[in-house]
Formats: sequence, structure tokens, C-alpha cells
Amino acid sequence: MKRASSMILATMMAATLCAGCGNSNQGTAGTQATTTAAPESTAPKADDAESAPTETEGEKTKGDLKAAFITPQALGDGSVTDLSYSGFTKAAEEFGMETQVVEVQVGEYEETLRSMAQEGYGLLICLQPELVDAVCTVAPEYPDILFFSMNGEINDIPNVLGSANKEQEGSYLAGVAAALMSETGKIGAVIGQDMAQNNRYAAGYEDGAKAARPDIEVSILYAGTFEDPAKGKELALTLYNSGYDVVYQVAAKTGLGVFEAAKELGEGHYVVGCDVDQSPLLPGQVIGSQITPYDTWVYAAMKDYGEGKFTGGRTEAFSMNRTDGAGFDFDSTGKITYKDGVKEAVEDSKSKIMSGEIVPESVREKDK
Amino acid sequence: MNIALLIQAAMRYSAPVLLAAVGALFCDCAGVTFIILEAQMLLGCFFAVIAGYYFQSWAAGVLCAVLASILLGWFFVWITMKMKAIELVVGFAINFLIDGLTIYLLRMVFHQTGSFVSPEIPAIPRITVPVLSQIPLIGNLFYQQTWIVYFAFLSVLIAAVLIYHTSFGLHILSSGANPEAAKAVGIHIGQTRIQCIMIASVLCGLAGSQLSIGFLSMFSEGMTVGKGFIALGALMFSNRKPALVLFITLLFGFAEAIGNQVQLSGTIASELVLMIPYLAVLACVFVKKPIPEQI
Repeated sequence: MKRASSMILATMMAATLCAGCGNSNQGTAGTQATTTAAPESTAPKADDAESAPTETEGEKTKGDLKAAFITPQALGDGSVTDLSYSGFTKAAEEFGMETQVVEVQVGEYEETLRSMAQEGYGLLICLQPELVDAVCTVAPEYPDILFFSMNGEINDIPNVLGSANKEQEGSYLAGVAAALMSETGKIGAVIGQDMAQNNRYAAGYEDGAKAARPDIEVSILYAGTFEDPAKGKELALTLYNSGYDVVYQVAAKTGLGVFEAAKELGEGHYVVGCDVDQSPLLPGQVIGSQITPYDTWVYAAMKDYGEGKFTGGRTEAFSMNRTDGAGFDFDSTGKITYKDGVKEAVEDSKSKIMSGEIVPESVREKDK
Repeated sequence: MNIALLIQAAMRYSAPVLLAAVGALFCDCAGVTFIILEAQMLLGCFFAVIAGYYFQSWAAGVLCAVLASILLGWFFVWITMKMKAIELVVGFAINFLIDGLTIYLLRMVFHQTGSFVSPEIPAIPRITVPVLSQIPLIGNLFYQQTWIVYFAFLSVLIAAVLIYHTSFGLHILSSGANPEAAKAVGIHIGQTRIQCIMIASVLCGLAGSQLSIGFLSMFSEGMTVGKGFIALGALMFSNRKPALVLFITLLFGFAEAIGNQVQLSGTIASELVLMIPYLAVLACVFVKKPIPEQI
């Protein structure tokens, strides 16, 4: 019995070694996660599918297009990764591209990029600043392969297109809305990590809040992790119990804890969502969400690749101007009653940002 | 610094860690290196949410969490006792296994990835102990926590009595201290160790369900974030004394809670504040060296 069990176990262990040799999954288009409202609403309309160009110079024929989607954060976060993926699949379907999805672990970034390049994928969509170093190392080795660094700033490598978010713009509008909706005059935010990119959200939020209501008190708390909803809930409870009635969450899974805290404390405790419309998560308590149309970014890069118009060597700044004013969405469930003037103030700030009259802060006071 | 909130937050954080630590205490006294606390908690988290969602009852959730942890405990027993594998190695392997398993099951069963949030997941109701919660400062210990949290603190007392004041406890201690002598006297150390592992499994299952449907009402991949290992850490410093286990776990809980409040006051840089819990661990090292053979 013992020998038989050992043999079985040993065989199972050997079998798992073959697990990496099969075809990787293609993933499903979009996501059924309850944590997000339809990301499709922010992607371009389906009509564009018919107008795929047929005669641009250098355009690849259908069979040639292969694109890979490489992400350090797993699909299913209901936010950034899923949204980017929806843009990816939309373009892939439109142009008939062969696709591959890889969720990479730390330490495997370069190998994965190299193996994708060697397998003939013409465009590698690499998500998040974590992959920037790997892209900078690997891209020059494969000058004929195109790289798109989503949320990573890379200049001067001819086959790499970087992208930068202007999260402070949408966050500015979030700050305006939060400050004007707050009854107590105190608003807060729970941020994932104390780092430059995350702090742009915080800086814009503080800037917008103070502009809308100079006597507002703003408190920013850092969780130190994106994976711990319990911590997010504790931080949010600390804020709510100290009189802060609106909390902006910028912390992925940790941020889900903020919704839990608001749900537990009930009416009068508001949340501002991040990156996607999160009002369906807690109808009646989400006054709006900052929007980053990652799907538009990825779609734009894929479209350029499909049409042969991809130009690298620079970083594209996806400001509100570039994405048709996507930056902040109000509650979509209809359960929030906005105070007089809130929506107008937000729209007004939005047009001023797009015209350049207002330039939201991207660096927090403490870091200057 | 709001003391009331501090106490409540510290209790909430400490409870799952304390349950796991008490379970590990039983095992450690019996001579078992019970390293799969993290895995059992995570499994408990997951099954509490699944069962709670499908049966629309938090009780079903807690029950399933405990059953799942017991099953995992049996697996551990089989591999380490029947198959004579090394506990440390097997333990780490199981931790990885369960992390992956919960992610896989989440996708298979719920077709979700990352996390599962739904208004239909029932939460364990909160209880406020009637008279005791009115006492000025101490009353906060009895305010709005789930029964699992109260039980966690009670379990320390139960462990102290069981281990150090009953014959069952004597069996446990002798199985750990001198297995050969115990066998010679006729104590069935295998059975004793299995019983301890089962106790630990039940406690970890409770800890997991407290984390996912007691404090929150959701499941998130890897949501235990190392609490099982923190429990082991607390055990290492405790010299097998239940009172010290309680003290150290509460210390960690307060460190976390204080950290949050300090961040709010804005006086210290956030990076330093987030270090506070780890500084607490270091402080423990300086006060008392952890005894290597305990883990």
C-alpha cells in the first residue's frame, strides 16, 4: 500500500512537470467579475469594426498578426488588467490577430518577453511599470518586434511605445466631487503604495478638493499592499470613524475593503471608485469613479500595429484630451442624489483641464 | 488616538492569528511542526465564502470551513505520519498547493478571478456583550465582534487548562518532550498528535472563516497575507506559554492598529509607520530569542 501510494505520488509529481508544455489559455474576452460594470461602455463602439482599413502601406495580412498580452497582475482584478484586456481582445477580434496571454511572476519578466518574441508575436503588450526594465533590456535585442508598455514611460527605443497616464486629471475631478458632496468637510483616500505613480492620484485628488472647497480637510493613508482587503477595511474604518465621510480608494484588492467598510457603516459614508466605474459595487454610496480608459490605450496600440502605423521611440501621454474626456464618471446606478452644483462644478473643471486652464498637481506637497 | 477604536481594531486583527497560534501551540507541545496554518486559514476563507454563498447561511460557511481544514489536516497526518515525510518540507508544499488550489477553484466554481464579492455572501453577525461592554475602557473588548473573536480569546484559556492541567495535556506534553519515554509508559503518541492536529485544524478553519465572512464578506486570492506565519512567529517567542501567545499576538494586533491611527495623524512618514508591526517583531527578538527547535 505504501509502495503503491509512493509510486502514484511520484508519477503525479512527474506529470506536473509537463504542465507547462501545453497551450496556454487564450482567456475569455471581457470578464464576468461582479466588481466591475461593463468595461465595454468605455471602449469604442462596434461600428468601427467594419471600417478596418484595407490599403495602408505596410499593413500586415490577416495571418501575420500575432499579439501577446503580458501582465504582472492576474486577470480578474475587475479593474486595470481586465480593462486593458478588453481593449486587447476587441482589437484582436477586429483585426483577426492570434493572441496569447501570460500572467508573469516576478523574476520571469525578461525570459517571458524573449520567449514571446521568439515565438513570433509581432506586438507585445506589457502591462504596468514593473515590466519597464525588462522591456528596456529585451526590446533592443528584437528590433523587429514591437512593444507597448502600458503605464510605463519609455523613450528613445525605436520599437517601444511607452504610455503615461494622467491620473491626476481624473483624480482632480474626483476631489472636486468628493469635497462638494462631503457633509463633514473631511475627505480621505486609501492608496496602495507610497510611490510616484500612486501619488499622482493622491496629488490630483487633494488639488481638486482644495480648489472646490478651500477649507476641506484631506487625509491620505497608505496600505503598503494591493492584496489585503482586511487592511483596506481597517484603514477606511479609521477614516470613517474619525469623521471623514468620503474615501477615495486607489488600491486594487485592498481597495475592495473600503467598500466593505462603507457597506458596514451604512448611509452617509461614501466611496470614490478607481480606474473603472465601481458604483454597482455599492449602489447609493459611490459618488463616482475616476476612470482610466486603459482599454482605449491598448486598443490604440493594437490598432496602430494592425494598420502598420505603429510608431515607437516615445511615450504617449493619454491625457483627457487624447481619450475624449474620459477621466471621471458619476454614479451609474441612479441611487445617488447629487447636491446642487456638484455636477456642474465637475464638468466645469473638466473643460478647464482639457483646455489647459487648469493643470492638476501630480506631485504631493510632502514629496516636493 | 482613539483608544476605543484602537482596542476594537487590535482585537479584530489578533483574533484569526490567535486562533492559529493556539492551534500551533497544541501541535508544538506534542512535537508536531505544524507549518500549514496559512494553508488551512486560506482554505477556511475560501470554503466559508463558497458554502455561505450557496447555502445562504454563515453557519454553513463556518462549518464547511472547519470541515475543509480538517480534511487538509488529515492529508497532512497521512503524508507525515503514514508516509513518514518531513513536516517542514511537506508543510511548505501544502502552503503553495492551497494557494494555487483556491485560485483554481475560484475560477472553476465562480468563474471569477482575483476576488469574489457579492451582496449575497452572508456575514457572521456581530455581538455586543450586554453588561460587560458598558464598562468604561475594558468595555471595548466586548463591543461588536463576532463570536469567533470572543472564542479566540477564550481558546487561550481553554488551551492553558487543557495542556497544563489535564491528563490529556500531560499526554501532549510528554509526546513532545520525550516521545520514547511516553511510548514506554503506554501513551499513544500518534493518536495524541493526530488529536492536536485536528484541534489546530478546527481553530484554523474558524480563523479563516472569521477573516472572509466575519470581518469582511468576500474572498480575495491570498487574502491571509502571511497571518499563518505571524502566528508561528508568535508561537516561537512564547516558550509554549499560552499567556505569552496571547500577549504577543495582541502586541502585533495593537502595532497594526496604532500604525493606522498614526498615519491618520500625519505626523510620521507612511513608510516608517508601515514598518511598525515588523518593528514589534524585532522588539520581541531583542527581548527574547526565539528557540530554534520549537519550529
